[in-house]
Amino acid sequence: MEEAESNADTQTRQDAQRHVEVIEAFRTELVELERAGVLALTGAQRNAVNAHHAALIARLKGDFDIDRDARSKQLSLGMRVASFLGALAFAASVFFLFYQYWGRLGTGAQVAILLGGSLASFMLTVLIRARDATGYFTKLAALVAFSCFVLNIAMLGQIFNITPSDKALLVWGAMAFLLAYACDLRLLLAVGLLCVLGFASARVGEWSGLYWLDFGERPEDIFPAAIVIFALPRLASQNRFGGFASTYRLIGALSVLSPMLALSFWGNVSYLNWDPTTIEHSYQVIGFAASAAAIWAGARWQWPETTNAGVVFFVIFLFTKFYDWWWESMPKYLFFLLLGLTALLALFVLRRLRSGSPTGSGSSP
Amino acid sequence: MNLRSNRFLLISGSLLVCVANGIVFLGVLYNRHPPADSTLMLTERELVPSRSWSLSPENSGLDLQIEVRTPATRSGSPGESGEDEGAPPWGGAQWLSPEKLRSLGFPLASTGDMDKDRRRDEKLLARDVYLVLELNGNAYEHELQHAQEQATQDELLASAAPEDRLRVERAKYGRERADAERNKESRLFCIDAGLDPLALRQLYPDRAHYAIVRGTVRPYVYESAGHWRVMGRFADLRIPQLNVSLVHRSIFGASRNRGYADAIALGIAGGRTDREGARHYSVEVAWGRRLEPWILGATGNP
Repeated sequence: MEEAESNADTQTRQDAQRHVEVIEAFRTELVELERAGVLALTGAQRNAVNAHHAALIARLKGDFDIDRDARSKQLSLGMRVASFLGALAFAASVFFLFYQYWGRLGTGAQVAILLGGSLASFMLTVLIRARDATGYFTKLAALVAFSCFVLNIAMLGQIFNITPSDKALLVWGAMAFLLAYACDLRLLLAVGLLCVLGFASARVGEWSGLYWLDFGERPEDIFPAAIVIFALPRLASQNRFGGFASTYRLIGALSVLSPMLALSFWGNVSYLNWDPTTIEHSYQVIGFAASAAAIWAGARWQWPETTNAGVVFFVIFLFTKFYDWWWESMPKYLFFLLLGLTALLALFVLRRLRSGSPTGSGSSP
Repeated sequence: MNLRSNRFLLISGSLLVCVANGIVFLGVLYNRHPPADSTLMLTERELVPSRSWSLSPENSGLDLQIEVRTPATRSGSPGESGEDEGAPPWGGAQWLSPEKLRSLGFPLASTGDMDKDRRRDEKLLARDVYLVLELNGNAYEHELQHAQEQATQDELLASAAPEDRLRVERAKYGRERADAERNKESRLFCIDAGLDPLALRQLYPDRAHYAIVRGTVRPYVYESAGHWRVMGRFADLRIPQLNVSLVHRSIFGASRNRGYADAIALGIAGGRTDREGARHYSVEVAWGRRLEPWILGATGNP
């Protein structure tokens, strides 16, 4: 019963890792308290706490393959990087392997290899997932399976001269989501979200009369889907999936702020029929406001990724404007001095925000 | 069934792969179900082996690029002037007039405010429409006739002043151009567009010479004689390339693999240089119910 209670909030690897880190911090602080004479546990109490923590850590480690100390944490990071790079390399290898030989195969063999490759790589992922406690090999296999599926559909289109369709993005997105949620893979979640963004933008563009492949030429097409993606973790809880909510918010925030940045430079790609300069100025103002709103929301609800995205875009908006206004007219030392002073001002503002932000309870997953 | 269970993952993933592939195959079967919407006999003039820019040494596949032209925009008579200087450089078509563009759904501006109208028209992007491709028809005859008249005119001028090197060069170039028009250039022209493929088919019932395909057109704003004008421009076919299956590969002599340098040289020089030593072939291309093309048969010509 106690164990069940203590594990109630531990649903993801990230939660488990956090829990172990809290235990480590507690142990360190306990030593300090005892050294300062503030607290002294009896032998029985100390043994009970140690036994409880040891059992808890053992179970969490068994369930989630967590890092017990700083060294294993560093090694985990290395494994994550190796897994990611390996997946990219395997995916590229699959792609180039097919391209190298497909011209020497008949249509039947091409189709059989594409379909077989998709199914086999997917089944291999499921098989590895059942045996891989660490998750690194599963992630690698999942990315390769996704690449095989993308290659499958794209090459069928080429082999049979099929009209390019935005619906392919939807199918790829579905596969990316399936693998992301099943294998706890944030990278594929981001890919899936980008597929959905592409599809939704293409549809908005089509409703406005554009050819769907031109959706990138009207950056405003992205806004509706980007806002929905940003808000989604509020509407559908992602608590069971570590880091998924922040991935949604990050992709959403970037997809709102990037088009604004583009429109603040190239007003003529907007839907608005105003003078391009007016459009650019408007989007500069909107971009500043949206970046500031992202910083505020991130600080308010403790969404670090949203705050970081807001800060980065605020700085980009600000510096590009400084460049436009003063690069030609100012001596360079003065220009860079002004940049430095602005950075200093930003530091003061962020520090104030940090000191004023609530801790712990206001956080949202 | 849990979202993270292996069984759920296996069933849903396999189903997704199979359903996606199934939809593709059903679409192909539907498109290729006889009778074809149109069947054109194209040659090396209209179908040029293409290579993608960056992947050429690694890509063993072969695609044939469909070379579609639009009737050139001209003013004046042969010998007086060539193409209209202010006209779109490629793909501009006089038949894509402002009225035609409006009928294709382009909301061309007509507020009377010149600057505002121009700004609005310049922002219009391509639209997906149905295009009519004419093979070896009036548009080609017109181009051929114009090239020959131009060549004759230039030769007359050159013979009247043989010491004028410029005129001699121009006459030589004109003759080469006329010969190329007769023997090498594509005879496939984009001559009309619409939003209803059935209505277009009624206008062009000859399925052996007119293919109705999907493609994009876009308005082009240009300045001519101090005034800005709007003209439509053929942008692209939705399927600009045909995949060549292994059965037909030998006909195109494409078993050789180009190196990067060759691919880049071809990209810079354009398809024409590649046509110089090209093989001669005839390819029967069909466009099906979904207006998607495929190769019915191909034969090599001596």
